[in-house]
Amino acid sequence: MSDTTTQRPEEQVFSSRFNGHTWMQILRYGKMLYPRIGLLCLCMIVMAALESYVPQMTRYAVDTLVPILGKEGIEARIALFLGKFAGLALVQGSLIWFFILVAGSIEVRIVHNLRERGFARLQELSFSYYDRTPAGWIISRMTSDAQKLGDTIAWGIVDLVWGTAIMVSISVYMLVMNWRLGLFALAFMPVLLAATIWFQMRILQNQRKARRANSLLTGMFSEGLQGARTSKTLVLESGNKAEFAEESGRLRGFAVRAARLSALYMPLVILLASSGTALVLGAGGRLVMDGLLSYGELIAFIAYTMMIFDPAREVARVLSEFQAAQASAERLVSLIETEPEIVDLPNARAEGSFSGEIRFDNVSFEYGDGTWIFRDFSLVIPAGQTVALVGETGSGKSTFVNLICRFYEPVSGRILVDGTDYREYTQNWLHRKLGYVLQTPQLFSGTIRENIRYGRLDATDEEIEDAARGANALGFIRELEFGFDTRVGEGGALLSTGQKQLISLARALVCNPALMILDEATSSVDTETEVLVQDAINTVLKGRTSIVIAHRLSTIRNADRILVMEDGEVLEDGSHDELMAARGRYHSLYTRQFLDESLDVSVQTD
Amino acid sequence: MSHTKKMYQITRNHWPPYGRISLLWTVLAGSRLGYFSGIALMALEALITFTGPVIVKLTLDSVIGSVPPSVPAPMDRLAQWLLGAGFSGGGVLPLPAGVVPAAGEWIWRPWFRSHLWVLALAFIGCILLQAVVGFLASYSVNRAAEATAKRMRDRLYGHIQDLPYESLLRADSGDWLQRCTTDVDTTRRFIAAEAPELVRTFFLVAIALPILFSLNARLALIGCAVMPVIILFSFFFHVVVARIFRGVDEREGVLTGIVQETVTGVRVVRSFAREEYETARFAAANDSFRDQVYRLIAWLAFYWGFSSFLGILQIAGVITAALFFMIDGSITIGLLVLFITYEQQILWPVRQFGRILADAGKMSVALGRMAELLALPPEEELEACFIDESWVPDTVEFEHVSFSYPDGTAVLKDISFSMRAGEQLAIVGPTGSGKSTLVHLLIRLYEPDSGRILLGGRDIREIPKRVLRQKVSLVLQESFLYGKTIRNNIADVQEEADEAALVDAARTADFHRVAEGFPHRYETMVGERGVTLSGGQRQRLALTRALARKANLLVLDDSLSAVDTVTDLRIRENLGGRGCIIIAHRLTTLASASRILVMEDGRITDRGTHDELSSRPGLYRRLAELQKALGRSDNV
Repeated sequence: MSDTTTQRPEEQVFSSRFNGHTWMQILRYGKMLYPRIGLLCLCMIVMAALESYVPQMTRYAVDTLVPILGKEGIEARIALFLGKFAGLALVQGSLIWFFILVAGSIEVRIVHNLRERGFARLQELSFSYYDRTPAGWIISRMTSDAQKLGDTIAWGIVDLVWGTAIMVSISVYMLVMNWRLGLFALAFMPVLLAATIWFQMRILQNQRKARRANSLLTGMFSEGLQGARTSKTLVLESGNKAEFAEESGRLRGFAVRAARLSALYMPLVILLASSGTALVLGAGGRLVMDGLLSYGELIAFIAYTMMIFDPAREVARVLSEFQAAQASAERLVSLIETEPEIVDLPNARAEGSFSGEIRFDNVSFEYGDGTWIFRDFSLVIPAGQTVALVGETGSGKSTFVNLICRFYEPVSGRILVDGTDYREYTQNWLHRKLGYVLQTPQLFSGTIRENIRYGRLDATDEEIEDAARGANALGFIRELEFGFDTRVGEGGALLSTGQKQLISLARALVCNPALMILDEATSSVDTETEVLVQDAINTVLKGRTSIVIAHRLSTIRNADRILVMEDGEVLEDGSHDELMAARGRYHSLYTRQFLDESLDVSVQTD
Repeated sequence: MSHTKKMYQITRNHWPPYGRISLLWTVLAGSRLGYFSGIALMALEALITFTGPVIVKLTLDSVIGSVPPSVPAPMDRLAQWLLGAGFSGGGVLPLPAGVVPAAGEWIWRPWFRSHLWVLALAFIGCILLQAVVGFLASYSVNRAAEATAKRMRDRLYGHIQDLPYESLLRADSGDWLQRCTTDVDTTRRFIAAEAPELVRTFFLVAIALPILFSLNARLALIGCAVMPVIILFSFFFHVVVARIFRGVDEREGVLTGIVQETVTGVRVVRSFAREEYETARFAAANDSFRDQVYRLIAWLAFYWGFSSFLGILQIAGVITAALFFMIDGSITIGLLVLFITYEQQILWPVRQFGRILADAGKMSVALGRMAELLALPPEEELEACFIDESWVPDTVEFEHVSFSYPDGTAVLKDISFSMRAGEQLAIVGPTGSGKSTLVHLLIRLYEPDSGRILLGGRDIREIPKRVLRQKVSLVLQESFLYGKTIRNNIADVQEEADEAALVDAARTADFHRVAEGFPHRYETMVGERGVTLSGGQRQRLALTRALARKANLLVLDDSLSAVDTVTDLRIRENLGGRGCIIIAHRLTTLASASRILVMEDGRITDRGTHDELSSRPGLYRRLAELQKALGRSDNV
């Protein structure tokens, strides 16, 4: 496991050393783009050559056409000259059109490809990855990092090749026309390049700081918005405003610093470049007067010295952008290269029936931090049994469920489904046999119908309606204006908590799984919805193997079997009546946590 | 009394009290001098830009060549007007007439020919001046823009903080966030980069055109031939392309949404074995995004290709025309070089002109969106002078209070009750019965339509809202926790936290042992950048925060629903004889209250102790029996 995945993206931005491995990987991913990239390079070189030829046209006009002005046949030669120039304009215009198309196609394909690989990998990665990587980081890798890398590579190649080619050809033209003056004119180039690189690095650094401050500020805006009602009741407004003003002031500081550098940089570069022009003007003028240089050549020299600073700036900018993009590349490569910890065996079966029987056979497990959650744990759950897991946080209930779902695999020992080690099947096979209802219901944006159909993609509308009925959701769905076609919003935000719970139960029902996992919600909804949810849960659990992390009294009592867990061990195992009779841990848990609720009420009302 | 018709939601194209321009003008306050002197410097820089090429022309034509330097006719006339009719135009600088010898060669030429470096130095001098002015211009404009952006952000943030509860309830946070971030950025970019560029382009053209025309009108006319075409083309192009840009944004939103959902909902995706389904969904969005971006790029390629073609064609035209004009000797080579240089200097900004104009449209939309948000009226009577040391708000009286929501739905109908000091009053009722609204009225998040509310014997309308809310601590149903440390969530950051009071509050809310359980204890960050608290822990932290505020009255709006029964009981014991109003569903909570109000459909339908209420028929007994049924299994 590479450690880059657990670091914050911003913190490792300045891995200033060149990372060969990362770029090699990126090159490998882009293999199918090589022909296009070759074409692009060729295109840029031709363009650079043509562009640096333009001053030669002026030189030709001045040196060759001007002296014979007024002579016989000059009109024809001028017309030819114009024709050539127009042709050049047409070719150059088409080349620009063409190279943008090619570079653009490379950009979108790189981004597309990286996202495709990243997403595919995300579908394979184990839960351990999701447990230690915050969602926001994954999302920014898939969105902004991929985009940035595509931009930098495609347009970086453009500017790098064009810039280098044009600098080379300008230098060649100048040296050929007059090598002494050429060397003279080029004397400022190294200074120009060095200054440019220095400034670009500084500017990027400050922009990055400003961006970070900006995203912090966006976070504060978002908190200020979501927390505004709370702030209002607690009279925190003035404190919030002061805090915000401080942070927005920091952002301004970084931004102004970056702007100052940029403001300083451009004039400086122009000044350096112009010094070349001035040198050529002074020295070249002398040469013309001495007859060592033609008039046209001097004009071409002046044009070249004015032209050369732009490509120099571009090349330096691209180099520093590649430097900055390396961080994005490292993050993406590390995501794509992360090996899933759970993989299907090569000969894993994808088919097979499953009655619902589960057996833990000497299972030991730890999350990789050295703390054993289970040690030599063995247990049999016969098909069709409803098992309630009871215990404190950290007793191993969630791990138990994670292992059954194969979100994690035992470190040693086996888990058998219908007597077969589940590693002999594919993960997909197991998950198709499984229904899972989470503590906090997680819906997807789309309609209610689409969300229920998520349980089984080929479910008919009737089956969806049946499932909704079974989950007691039909009532409220019918009351909605658009019924099953009501959009639930992002993450189901447009529905109430109780409604989301009912829909997630319907989703599990439509899947009709052999094994149902239910993590009961702890937070209560109002009493009447509670009754609906409770009733729906009973429907969902009926007639199949069910494992419930239980919080509700009736769910626990209705279970065929209760496992009282503590520190990764089953402390007590039996039905409600048996465990109550045993007067052990369950009895005390029950009386302490639940009894007061029911007794209190029944005493008063009876 | 009827409620005044107020705006609680953003209305499109509604900008009072600010128009868009006046909003921009207002937020510029404090940076106006810096900004406009920056803009003026930019114009000056544009002017200086034209001096360098003049020196090159002078060198080529009049020093290396032998054409006497001349100034454009209008300048010559100006000089004659100023210096007397006898003045005849001397050189690029209005040299005294005496330096122009009659013999044909102008008098300074030999000196310049042997001192060419003076011209080179003068050229550098021009550029140096341009550099200094350019730096000052760019720096002062950017500084002003950043300061303006800060003022806009602070203003928007502050405005949101001061909005009434109702507006915040209805806020579409994604949209609002965009108004506060992206729209501010669009505006900032415009005033920092695009507006100055617009001014600079204007000056470049405004200076270049007269110079070119006065140097040689015929050549200038040819030199400007494509300019209107390029400007129009670029403007219409950018208007068209804006639509494609929006498409890119939308598709990117879809793509990001899918990634977000599958990452946060990975448990659902996996447990339903929907990896392939999600991959297909993502692939479709990925393709569609790629195609749209490519569509955009294809348009851009056409634009840049075509405008470059026009640009080069323009220069070809100038050179060719110049060659013809040279036949009759009306122009010199130096003048041609000067023309080409000027052409190149103005062609690029002119090509950008259309983009900037299109961006000006975007800024105007962004400004409008900010103005719409700022047009929401803030909450009134937040602060006022209120000094009454003897006022202790520990009793509550509602006298015939009725209330309807701003949209007209009646919520509370003729509510009257009183609460004695130190009493624990519980409120129970089905969702939508008006319990939360009742406590919201208590701290003036809403104002009653009729009737009055007395707190500690005073009508709460006399008490400024902020004072009132400091005295009455309301814990909301879904309290928001900030992404700060636990300590900073509990204590007001601005005040020096009293450690003992903080721990005391945490102990009362049974949160102390939770906090102590974290490695960084009270310095632990809450949320994405730190620990994720369970629902019950969050509620206990929110309660701690409310307790730490030393209010006289505590109001809990179903804010212990996720706390387990035992902890709930412990917290209630810790609270002891504190006066509080508790909205709850849990019977054990209700049973321990000194008095219970039963609410149904906006009215108090019953009141009394737990014993009294459960002994007579009604909603309370039904609720009690429902919960009993839930708690009881069939086989006992």
